[in-house]
Amino acid sequence: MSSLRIEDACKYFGGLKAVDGINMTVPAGRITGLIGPNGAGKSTVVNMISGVYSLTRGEVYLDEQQLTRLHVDEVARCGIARTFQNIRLLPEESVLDNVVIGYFRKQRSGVMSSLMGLPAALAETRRLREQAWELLGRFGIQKYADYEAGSLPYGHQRRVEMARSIAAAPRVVMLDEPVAGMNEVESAEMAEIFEDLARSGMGLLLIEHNVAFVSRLCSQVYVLDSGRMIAEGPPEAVTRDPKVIEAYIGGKADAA
Amino acid sequence: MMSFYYSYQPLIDFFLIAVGLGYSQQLALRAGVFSIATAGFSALGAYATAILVTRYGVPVPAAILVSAVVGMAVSYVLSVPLARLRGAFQAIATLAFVQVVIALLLYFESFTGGAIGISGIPRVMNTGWLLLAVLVTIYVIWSINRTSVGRVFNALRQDDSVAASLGVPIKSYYALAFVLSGLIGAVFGALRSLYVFNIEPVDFGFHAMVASLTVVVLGGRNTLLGPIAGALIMAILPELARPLAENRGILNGVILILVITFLPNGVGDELVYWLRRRLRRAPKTMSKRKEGADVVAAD
Repeated sequence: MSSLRIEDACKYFGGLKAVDGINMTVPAGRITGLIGPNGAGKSTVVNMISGVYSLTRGEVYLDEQQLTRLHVDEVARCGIARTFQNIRLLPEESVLDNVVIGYFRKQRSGVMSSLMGLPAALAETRRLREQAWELLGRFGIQKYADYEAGSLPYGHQRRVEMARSIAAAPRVVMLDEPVAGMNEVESAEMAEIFEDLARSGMGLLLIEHNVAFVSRLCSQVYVLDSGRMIAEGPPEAVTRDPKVIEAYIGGKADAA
Repeated sequence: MMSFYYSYQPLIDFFLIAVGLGYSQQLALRAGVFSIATAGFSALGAYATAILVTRYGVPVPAAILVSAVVGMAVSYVLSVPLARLRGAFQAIATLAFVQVVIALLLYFESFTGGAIGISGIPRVMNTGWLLLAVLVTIYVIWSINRTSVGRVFNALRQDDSVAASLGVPIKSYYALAFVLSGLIGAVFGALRSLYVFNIEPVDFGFHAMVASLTVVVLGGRNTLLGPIAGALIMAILPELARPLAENRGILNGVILILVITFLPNGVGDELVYWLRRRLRRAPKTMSKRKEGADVVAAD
């Protein structure tokens, strides 16, 4: 079973300790939660793992492979996918093409066969379009396949981005606020998809505000506050932790 | 038909060359490389072929091949510093590249003929060969559009950090776009030199740079039709503007301003987008409205 681990990871921006010595494990086949108040450093952690930020200290591993000093595209090719907190689609492309580009890592036809328009490259494009079409169905947005991605409402754009991130069957996917702005019914649909993915062996990291949603899905929850990991464990234990309540409600733990 | 061809043959030939250079320019822009180096590549290609053919008696096909290799090699080297720049800075850097090429052509007089340039180049090009070159270029770009490389180029233009997050080695693909641009630019420069008898640095200066950029701005940045539409306008316009004599430039400027204001994607691209909308969306307008109603009901 593969797993993503970060060990003693720090990210300092000058004097600001955005993330300060955290340890975390995202096992395959499980849904792991990362919660914390605004500005806790959750998205920084995602950017550190995916190679956008270089670590000030510490290491990132996927199984035994060290990812710490790899570039963004190399980390992605190792099988780590992500979504962005502020949804980033290719606005001029159709919804379908936005998902097709997600298969990049799995493509086998080379640059030359693409330039020469060889049948193998064309057949691969056809096949990927069919797969992307099915994936859109799974996310309930098949009917928007031909629409320009930028023209979709917010919640649907999130679905497109998630479809794109899991298209190439990554080993670990990090979803940054996947159900933000979705209603109960919609987030229940998403929860079902996440559980399916975990059953298929993928490791999921949910970065969320919505504590209830995380508690329902995750086997393990990490709580980040001001760049430090203040709690970790099963959701029932973590949500009762006085330090967590203090971080969220802002009251003094001893007064509670 | 034939009489039309004979009376407009030079116009058609220059149109085909402009289309080729337009594709060189378009390929870079389409992949998000803000390059205006096409004029420089066509200068390198033109001079390489002209020098090899006139001085060393190299057969024409071999000379064109050398031009292609020179174009690819120079654009590859140039792509390394260019990868560190973005947007307007890439435009300035490639502008500097064109100026450096011109300066070198003027400086190495014994080799390049200086300001007088090279004359007595055999005219072996004709409409047929130029058309073939354009068709091959169109085929390659059409193939790109329908396969992985085209998807990556589109992604680079719209958001290269998204492309990287999906595993695309973005520097390699920027370099690929730029090298293809250099290759096409150099080849069409070479073909041009084999058509016009003599070449001089002035042919490849600021004017040439603006010309190939204009083809793409007028025609469009993303579709196959773009450079064809742009080059067509650029070819027909001077003919229509004959009565204006010295003031043709004004008409060019006015057309450019009108297109940028009202058809910002370019005439060719807008036409293709409009056709796509009509073909694809027309049957779906109904369902679109119904979905809208569903959303309201669900709320």
